[in-house]
Amino acid sequence: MNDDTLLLYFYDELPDDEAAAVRRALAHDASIADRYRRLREALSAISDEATPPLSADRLARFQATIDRAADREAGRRPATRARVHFLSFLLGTAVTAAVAVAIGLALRQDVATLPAGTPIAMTTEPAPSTTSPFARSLQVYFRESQLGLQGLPDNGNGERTQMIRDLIAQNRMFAKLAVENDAPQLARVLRAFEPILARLAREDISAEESAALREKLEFELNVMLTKVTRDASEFARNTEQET
Amino acid sequence: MKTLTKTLLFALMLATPVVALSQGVDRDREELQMAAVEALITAPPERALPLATKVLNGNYSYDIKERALFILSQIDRPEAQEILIETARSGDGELRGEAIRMIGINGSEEALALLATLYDPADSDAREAVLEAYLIAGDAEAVYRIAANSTNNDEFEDAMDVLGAMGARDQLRRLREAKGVSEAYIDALIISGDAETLLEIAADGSDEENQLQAIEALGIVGGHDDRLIQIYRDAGSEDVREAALDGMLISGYDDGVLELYRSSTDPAEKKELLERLVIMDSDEVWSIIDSALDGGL
Repeated sequence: MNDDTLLLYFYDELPDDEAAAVRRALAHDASIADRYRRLREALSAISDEATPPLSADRLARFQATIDRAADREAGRRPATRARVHFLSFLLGTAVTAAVAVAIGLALRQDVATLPAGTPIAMTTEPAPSTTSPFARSLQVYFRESQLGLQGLPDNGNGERTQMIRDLIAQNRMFAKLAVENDAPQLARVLRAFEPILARLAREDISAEESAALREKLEFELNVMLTKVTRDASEFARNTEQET
Repeated sequence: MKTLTKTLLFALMLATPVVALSQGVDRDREELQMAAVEALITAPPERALPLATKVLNGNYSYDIKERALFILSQIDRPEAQEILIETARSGDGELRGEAIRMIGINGSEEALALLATLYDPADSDAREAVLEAYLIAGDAEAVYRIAANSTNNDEFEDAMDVLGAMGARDQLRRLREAKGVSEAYIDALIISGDAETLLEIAADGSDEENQLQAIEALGIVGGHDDRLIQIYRDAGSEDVREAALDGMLISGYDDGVLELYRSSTDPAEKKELLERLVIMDSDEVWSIIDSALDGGL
């Protein structure tokens, strides 16, 4: 039983019979149970420990550094586009970067080339196959990010900021995984989401601007979900026909 | 819904003239148009391309056009690239910025090369849009060139922010040679997590302001608590010692402050270190206070 299967089991993405087989293996095979425990810890860290615990004093000092950067902005001419403050999100993403490296190997796949003449010619990048853990994790990520955006509180508060930090951390992880999986164009799309999320996290954001940014991001996530799903299905169909 | 049905639905909506409608009807209509644009991702490129182009050139809201640009960015056809380039060159205001973003997302080599000609140091919107596109495309060298050739602080600081976010340590190190160390530069090192360069600046007393900031920054980046202790012990000035303590406070290294407290024989220094331990909420602080009250040093 490989890590890919365990990963899908973790994300509840296995058919019932395969999930039952994993459950049996976990109950009877200590080495598999141990591997699953380590994988689960790494994956749980993404959602549960995206931000390391900080004391109030340390947060205050860190905030002072951010304020210093913001002060530099104070005298500038206001721009139409809201600026992105990357420093604000340093802490929220640091742990996830390490976790991404840890699980990156588990999600790495051998990329096959897209057969010529595929009906969906929206991409030149080889599509991850439907059975690839990366493609399936990506689909889960796109879906869950949409849900996360829909669940964002309207007004700026700590909970909202933390939720956006988690979204950024997840997004950054999948951008890294896209690079790992030889999908540079996908990595570019994922990187494009981060500045929008960073703008969404601004405390002075108006309700109108927040709604507009959310709708924009939901649209782009949905388009990418459709595209990844379609490309992967086409790839699987064409591969099946060839064999 | 089948691709053909979606495409027909879209074409039907495009054919409906835009008239003055009530706000509710307008909103319904816009939502439907939005769904139709989204559905274009499932259409074959030869169908999606003309429809997305029609939206871009037609009488539609900014939001709808923005969505059409995203669809165009996902069509790997030279015609789609040309439309993105044209909109980035001559589109109006925000749509131009969005087209620049789309070039970052899926622009060809040719389109990415165009970004350099769209960069305008005097136009903050264009400047930030191009920098963001480079960030999305992962082109750290292009951002390096902007930073190295920058002629004002705003331009330099924007480029620093982006290089930091990209984790572009090589480029940042080269910029140290080209532009020197500044507050924005140190912030970029923090964002990129480049503790090695921060340690070099922290050891360089030629500019105390930069040195102090770098020492504090080591606390933010983390992982170098032992060096902060060493900097404290070797400090040639009160400010450097203070900065090292600040770094330890930021990193939450109360064990280090405790070690300094225990090894110190100077009552004034011990008092200051005790204050820090109280702020840091150290587990050991109560036994130390107890000992201090008993007259122990």
